[in-house]
Amino acid sequence: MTESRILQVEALRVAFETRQGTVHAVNGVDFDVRPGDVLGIVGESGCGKSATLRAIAGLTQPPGEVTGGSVRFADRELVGLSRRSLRQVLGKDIGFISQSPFGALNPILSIEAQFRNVIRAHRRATKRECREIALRALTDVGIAGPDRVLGGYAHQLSGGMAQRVVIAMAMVHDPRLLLADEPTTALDVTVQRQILDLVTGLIAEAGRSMVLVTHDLSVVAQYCTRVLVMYAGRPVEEGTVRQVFKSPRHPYTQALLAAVPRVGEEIRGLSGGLPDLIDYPVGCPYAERCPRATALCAEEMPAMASCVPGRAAACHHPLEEVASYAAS
Amino acid sequence: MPLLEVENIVKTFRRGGGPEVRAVDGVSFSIESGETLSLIGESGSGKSTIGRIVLGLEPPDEGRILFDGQDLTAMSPRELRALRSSITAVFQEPYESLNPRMTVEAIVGEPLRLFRRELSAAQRRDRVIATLEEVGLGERVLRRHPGDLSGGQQQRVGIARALVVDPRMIVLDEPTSSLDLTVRATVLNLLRELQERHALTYLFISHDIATVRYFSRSTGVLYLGKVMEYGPTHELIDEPRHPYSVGLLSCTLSADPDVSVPAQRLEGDTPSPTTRRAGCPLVGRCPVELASCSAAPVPLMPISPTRSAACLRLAPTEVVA
Repeated sequence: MTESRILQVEALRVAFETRQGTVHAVNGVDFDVRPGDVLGIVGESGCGKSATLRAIAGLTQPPGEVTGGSVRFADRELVGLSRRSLRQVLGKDIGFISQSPFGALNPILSIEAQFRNVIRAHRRATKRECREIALRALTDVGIAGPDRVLGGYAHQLSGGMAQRVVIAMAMVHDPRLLLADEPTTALDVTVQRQILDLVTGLIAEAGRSMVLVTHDLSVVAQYCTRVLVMYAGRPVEEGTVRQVFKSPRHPYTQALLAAVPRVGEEIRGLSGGLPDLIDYPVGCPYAERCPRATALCAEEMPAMASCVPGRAAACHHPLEEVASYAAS
Repeated sequence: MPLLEVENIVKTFRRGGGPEVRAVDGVSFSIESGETLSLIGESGSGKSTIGRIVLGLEPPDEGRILFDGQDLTAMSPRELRALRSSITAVFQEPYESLNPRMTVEAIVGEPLRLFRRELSAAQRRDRVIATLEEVGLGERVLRRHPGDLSGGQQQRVGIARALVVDPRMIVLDEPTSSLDLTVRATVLNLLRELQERHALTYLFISHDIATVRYFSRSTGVLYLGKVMEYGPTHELIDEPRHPYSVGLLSCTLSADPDVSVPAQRLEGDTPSPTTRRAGCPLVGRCPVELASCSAAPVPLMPISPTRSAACLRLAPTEVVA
């Protein structure tokens, strides 16, 4: 059973120490990723989606800290590994793409030198071999003049080109899992589409997997196979994209979907805000804004409950499931 | 008569000794009173520069801007100042556009101090409170600073500041782009309510097509400083005609997993705006270009009773001949 899961995240917690107190950014996140999955983690600011992804990638920086839980990659526990041991996995079997390609690239090293560093971190290679690997990687991400790009620097690239270079670097060691944190948020829509087509194509062709963090429901709708909706550091709903988008069970998921502008329909927003993440509520974190909330919701935190494997919602009073989407 | 008429405006920038950038390259449009016109485009399309020109923050190099029939480009600074409270603005980053050291009361009251000098302090305060209530905030935020407020509340303060002087028109420059989805929806609905209640005219600048479709009656699509296509929003978005609009809109992703639109790729990336082009700016990326497209500028031409496009492929035959 475990072989079929490339990534297992259990009861993951991340906290940030601040002068005001401990901010509970991620409060018990569980999910699995299987080969071929493109899992979207979606939610609004403060839901803990990026903190979750960074924790998986071992990128949590002080004042943030992973305070509990487990991240198993190919049956190897990553939480608690030394930086050294972690580095053997990251960048090799797990690739990471961040929102800002210019933050990921070194401004004073040529692109070729950066490729060399990335390649030599995990294997021996001569300068010429590195160049050949880099040229192939750049061609694979659809860059027409890879020679010219290799000799240049980050600032000479457009945002879309820079993100392609970052993706090419992330794919150099043929990772089994790609983690992407809002990879196209900073890009224009025409470029966004090219990049997402490219990345999901690379994932699909080799049976790789991806976890894609985004605030954009349409990116999830079009590119992900499964989705995890987060709110205030907790997962509230999980399932296939069709199940969750067509028949949401958690009232927060329903509210998110109702806020998407659609032709001929009024959109609705949410009033109020997130609960205090320092003095975290004992009950459901969404209770205060929820039209279905009862006394129980304020007292008891609902657990993720599933009726079908892989489909779950954390709600005491979930919405009725639309039968035709239950199994899709 | 339209409230705003923009005629053939041009704006060129030159940074240092660098090459010239024609940020706005001969743009014309008009907005009827009480209506919303959207300008959509990607980065470098010139949409924000057009907003700044309409607001009087940048003078155009060429062209005219008529507001209620008066030519803003021919006015003295003094006359312009009197008009300044008729056209106000809401910007993308509420936190960056609000002074963090000022209280909400001072921020929203500032335009009144500048443009409604006849008001007493007490009258000013009443007006500020009434406006804050209109945007759903109320008296309780008067003494707060922008940093104490959420992103959605900050943007409501920005809207109150634009509204407090009772303008006729508001330039909305990506007013919801930095907001979360559920907050964006409440802010968009608020802007629609205010428009109805005050008969406001909006120039809505956005890169987000779903929002534009929800929000505006007519839309212009900009690319490299030129209007590529113009028409009623729904017609234009549902059935774009210009090859650039077709490419742009086909890249817009649907939030419905059952609706997928195949991308109609435009070749390559948007070229540098410093590149000099004699003809259509889409030459080199266009899937249907003709040899004549690069010869001379292509004007915006009518393609139906309600729509126009700057494309030789779509031109009425008599124009081509």
